[in-house]
Amino acid sequence: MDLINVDNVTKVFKGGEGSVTALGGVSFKVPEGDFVALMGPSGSGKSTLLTMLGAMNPPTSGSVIIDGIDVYSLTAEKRADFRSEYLGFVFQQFQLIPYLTAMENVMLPLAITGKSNREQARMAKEVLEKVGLGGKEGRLPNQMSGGEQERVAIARAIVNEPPILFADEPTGALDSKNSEEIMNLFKYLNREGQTIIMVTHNQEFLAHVKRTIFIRDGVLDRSRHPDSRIAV
Amino acid sequence: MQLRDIALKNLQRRKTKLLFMVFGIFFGIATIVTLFTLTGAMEQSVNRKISETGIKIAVSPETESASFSVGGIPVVSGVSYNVTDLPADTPDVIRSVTGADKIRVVAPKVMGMAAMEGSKVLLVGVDFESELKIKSWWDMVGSLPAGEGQALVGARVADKYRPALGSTIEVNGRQLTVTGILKETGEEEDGIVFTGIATARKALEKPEGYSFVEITVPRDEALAARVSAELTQKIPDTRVRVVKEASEARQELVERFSSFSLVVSLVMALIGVLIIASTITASVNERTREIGILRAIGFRKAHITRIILLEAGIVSGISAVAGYFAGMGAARLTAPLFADFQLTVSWNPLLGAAVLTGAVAAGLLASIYPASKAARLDPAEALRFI
Repeated sequence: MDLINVDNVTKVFKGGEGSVTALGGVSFKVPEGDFVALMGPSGSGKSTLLTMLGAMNPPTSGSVIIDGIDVYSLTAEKRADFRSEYLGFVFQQFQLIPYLTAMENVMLPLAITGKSNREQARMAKEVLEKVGLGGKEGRLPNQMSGGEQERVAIARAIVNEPPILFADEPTGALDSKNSEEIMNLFKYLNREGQTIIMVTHNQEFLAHVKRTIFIRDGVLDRSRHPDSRIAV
Repeated sequence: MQLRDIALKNLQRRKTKLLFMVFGIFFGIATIVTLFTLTGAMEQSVNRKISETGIKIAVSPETESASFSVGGIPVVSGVSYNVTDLPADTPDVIRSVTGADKIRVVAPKVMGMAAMEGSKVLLVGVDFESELKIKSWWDMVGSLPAGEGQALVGARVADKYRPALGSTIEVNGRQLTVTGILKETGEEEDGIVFTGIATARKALEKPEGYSFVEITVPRDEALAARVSAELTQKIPDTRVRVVKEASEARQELVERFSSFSLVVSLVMALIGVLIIASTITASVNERTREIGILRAIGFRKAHITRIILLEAGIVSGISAVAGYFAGMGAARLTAPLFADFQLTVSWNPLLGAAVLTGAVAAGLLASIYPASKAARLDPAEALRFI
């Protein structure tokens, strides 16, 4: 069953100097448990597509259906609830809240779930151990290495057990050793059933993912898919 | 982690800005509390005095006076002639009018100009017990005369002749022992030598009658008018009028001070609101990325609004409590400066509750714009800055 169904989405930005087409009719499907890399040069429309998949950026036309829900038929507040329940985000440069400890950063998505602090702490501790940060719960982001901060960011993204995990250049700020470790962590999570969509520039990681979507000038670049590993 | 924890953690992180905001609001609230407390204490003091003294009615003999001018330039003004005294039974007549049981004080006086060490002073014979009831603001060094041949001198007289307590002064050839010196009141009594009625009669050679009688009735305008009308009828050649009491003049002063306090308070409140609004707006602008992350991970607009309003509410609440205690402390410290009012500054929990409620409400009001600005932040737009 397809978890994500993107159907002919377009995005046109209207500015003072005319309109700019960021996405020009993109369609693809992602089945549950997939691990997809989203690749393309700068300005190709990757980030627009990622925020669109992330229920934050309504398309000019077309639809994004996740788990049978037409995401952009929901109101803005319902979309926020949808993000909380269905989606996890790992942003570029970790984007941890600097004045919160690792544990508190991970507990952040749980703050709006009505769970008690004790329950939140239990869940956060469990997921921090899962990403290999057991015993470092009380550290502030500036007391951790880049690799550790990335793990906290991943822990924060999956603590709610969302069906889909989005990662935007998750290894962009890491050295090759840490990047490899993070990719292994993603593979581990994927093996456990986590659907992952990752934006990356790094060709080396294509070997780790199950499928790749190439995008150029706002449309899928089919010439880059000789093995037809892309679901269309 | 609850929303309030996020608000508290953010406040803890921005200690300098937090202190600036707290101090701004604290200063405003302390000023407002000080002004309100002092104004309230003054109003209480004046109302107490007015209530104690009631309405004063002056009964004096009808005198005639004349003025003369040449070419519009006054040559002789207000010369009284045909001056008589009130009849000797005036106090008894007063005590026999309708509603006499409501008359609080009858204070008769015998007065006249007297020679004292080569110049003239006004000598007034009074019943000190009655007099003190209507002159509650009197403050003196020494004590009231307790018998005949004793005197209480006004501040101006004391300044001029420098009599020591226990020394004697010669008034119209009679030796009077000074038992007390009045502190300056700014009113007529500063230039008067007070003594007992019998002593004054002898010194002024007025064996009977009264120069003037002051009466106080409770604060009942109708009663005062009725008593005045009846006295005018019953005592011939008499002028009876309701006198504006000194404390009523003070009431006007307090009312003006109260209006001034209100204006200052409104200005301080406005400044406080602007400080909160600008600080929270700046804080929201700095946290665009952070708010974008929160929105991206599923925080609703209402959640963001609540975090911002919680921060403003916490800061306003802390400032209000500290400002209330500082303001009360300042009021207690400055109260002695208003010696004339004999202010009693007491803790007022109602004012404390009003300050807390008002400050938190103002803080929330001032934060509505930045909070709604934060909530409106488009997560996709905010994440573009990452």
